Amino acid sequence: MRIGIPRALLYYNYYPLWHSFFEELGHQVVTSSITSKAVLDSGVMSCVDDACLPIKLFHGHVVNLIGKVDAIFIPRLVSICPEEYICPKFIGLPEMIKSSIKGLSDLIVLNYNAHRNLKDAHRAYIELGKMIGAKPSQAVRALQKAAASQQVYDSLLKEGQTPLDMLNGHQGAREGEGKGVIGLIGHPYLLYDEFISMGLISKLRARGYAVLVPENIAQPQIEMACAELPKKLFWSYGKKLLGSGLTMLKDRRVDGVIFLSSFGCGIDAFIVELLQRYNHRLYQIPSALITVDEHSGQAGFNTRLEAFIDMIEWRDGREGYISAHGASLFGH
Amino acid sequence: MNTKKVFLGVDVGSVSINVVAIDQGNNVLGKIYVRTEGKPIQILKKAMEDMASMLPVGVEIRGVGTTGSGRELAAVVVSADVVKNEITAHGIAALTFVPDARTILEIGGQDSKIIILRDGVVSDFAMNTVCAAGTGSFLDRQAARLNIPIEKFGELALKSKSPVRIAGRCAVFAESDMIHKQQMGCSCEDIIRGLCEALVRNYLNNVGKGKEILPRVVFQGGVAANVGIRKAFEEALGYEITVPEHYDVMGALGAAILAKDYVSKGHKTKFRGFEEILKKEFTSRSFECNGCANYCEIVELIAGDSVAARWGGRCGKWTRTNQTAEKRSAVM
Repeated sequence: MRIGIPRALLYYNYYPLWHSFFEELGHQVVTSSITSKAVLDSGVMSCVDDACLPIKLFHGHVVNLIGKVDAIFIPRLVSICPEEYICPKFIGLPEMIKSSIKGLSDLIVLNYNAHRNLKDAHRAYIELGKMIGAKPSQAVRALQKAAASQQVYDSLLKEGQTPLDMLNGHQGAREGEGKGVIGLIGHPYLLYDEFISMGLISKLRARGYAVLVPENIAQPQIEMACAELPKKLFWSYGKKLLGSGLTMLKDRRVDGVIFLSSFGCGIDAFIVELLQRYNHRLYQIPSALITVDEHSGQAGFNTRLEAFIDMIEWRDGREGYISAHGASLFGH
Repeated sequence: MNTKKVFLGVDVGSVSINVVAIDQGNNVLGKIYVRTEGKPIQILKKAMEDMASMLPVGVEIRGVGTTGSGRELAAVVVSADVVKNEITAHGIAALTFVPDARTILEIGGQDSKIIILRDGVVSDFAMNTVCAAGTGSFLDRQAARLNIPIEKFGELALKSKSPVRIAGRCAVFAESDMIHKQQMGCSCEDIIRGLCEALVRNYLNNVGKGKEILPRVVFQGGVAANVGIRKAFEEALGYEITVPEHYDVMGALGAAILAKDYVSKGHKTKFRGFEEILKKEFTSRSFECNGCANYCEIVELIAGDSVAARWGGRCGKWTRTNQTAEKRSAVM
């Protein structure tokens, strides 16, 4: 059976796991195309109007798989950690897709919920296996192998690679190579989708900066940073962004921080605000917020990015002077 | 007598095109402020023509810089030495003319920004994210709807005895609120004053959120002409607001100063010359590239009978054919 995985949302977190799970069970995996205007447009057309950009984009990637596969895989992650949740839009994802997109081939839905305990959460994969004709024992074996390749991926991320580099099979400058380090705080489905992030990572690297991303920060450090907050954060991905951001700032590993957020993101609304307040109070490292939506014009994006880099270099006096041609380097 | 060395700054914004000429001591020799009217190329040529006739005989243009959202377009038309984003340009200009400035409030036609300066460098900035409520275009529109010349808008606001509360978060809500209050019988002055206060509130809550606004506060951009907004800022902040003499062309001034600094490092200007700018036929055309699923809108600027520049593509294949841009980025 050919199983389609939409290249959107949690794909960037879990693709090694899902890929190898299905492959271990003898199925062929087809990933939707890289995001393009056509993919985004079809997502916007088929999705409910008031969803956020990443959700619309997920719809587009599902549409992109129609006709290419026998079944489409839709993950429903309710919670990935006891007593924590992830964004409610992820919880209703399969229903949103079913009601908005007509003429879908079979959907294979993973119902993963670790809210009560982590121990039994793997049962979701046994159920998933049943949907594609695998016995529980086969599913467990496949999950073990899949978990191993996910672990390899996660440990490479901790060594400083970005998911984008791993997907493209090349490496960018690491910390300590280049003019400086820019910390990027944003959900993986924004940061590593080059269409949505308007090539943010490659633009920074073209200006001579290495990037540090939340995936590079180890979980214990994230937990430690968030433990100092006055209240427990119960959004897992919000915690990841806030904790990794605080770690980058506290350890002074970055020359500047850029928040990339999609318009209308509820979690980002307070995560970015909290980070900016802590930064303002304790660290005063240059920071900027860039909000993306369905824009196709890059002028506003480039202006903010260019001004941000000018500011860092001007503040440091490193260049001694502002470069004369920021805009042309970012290309058009 | 020696020929006078003159530097030009060009700011092509969404609403206005500004051209300034300065000498080596940053004295303004001439300034032009004209409305873009959606025809940047023609209006820019007209502005350059006016500038040429404004300057005394025997001056020599030694450098030219462009800024604003149309900076790349302007750079091709005039053949600029420096192309710089608006934030850096505004920062440079404010620091030059108001050396003790620590905060810049800038409201232009379609964007608004706040720039925080400390110790003579930009230390933080923010630009409006996705919403243009409270910028010049909205004020323009409301003035037109109330049939008040925009120049009289501020004066009228000052006549108000008891301003009414207008919703300022969104231009659509603001407009319906204004209509509502007007139908209730509130006076025009009170509504306008209410609008000024609403815009200032919105600006400080969005763009100015979390920023440490310290005196001296400089207010620049086209909207700084509006004494009503100025007063509302003073009341909200509790500081006196400085509006520099050339508040309406600060971006262009910044570009001119950057061009002057660039040329002083031994570069020779590439300025096309007034005569050639006026003589040359600049036309633009746009087309959709069918090379991939992104369907980028490519804009081609034709100078005389050759393609001077192309932009709009994501992959860069159209930019590569753009010789001038290539040479310019090589200067980096």
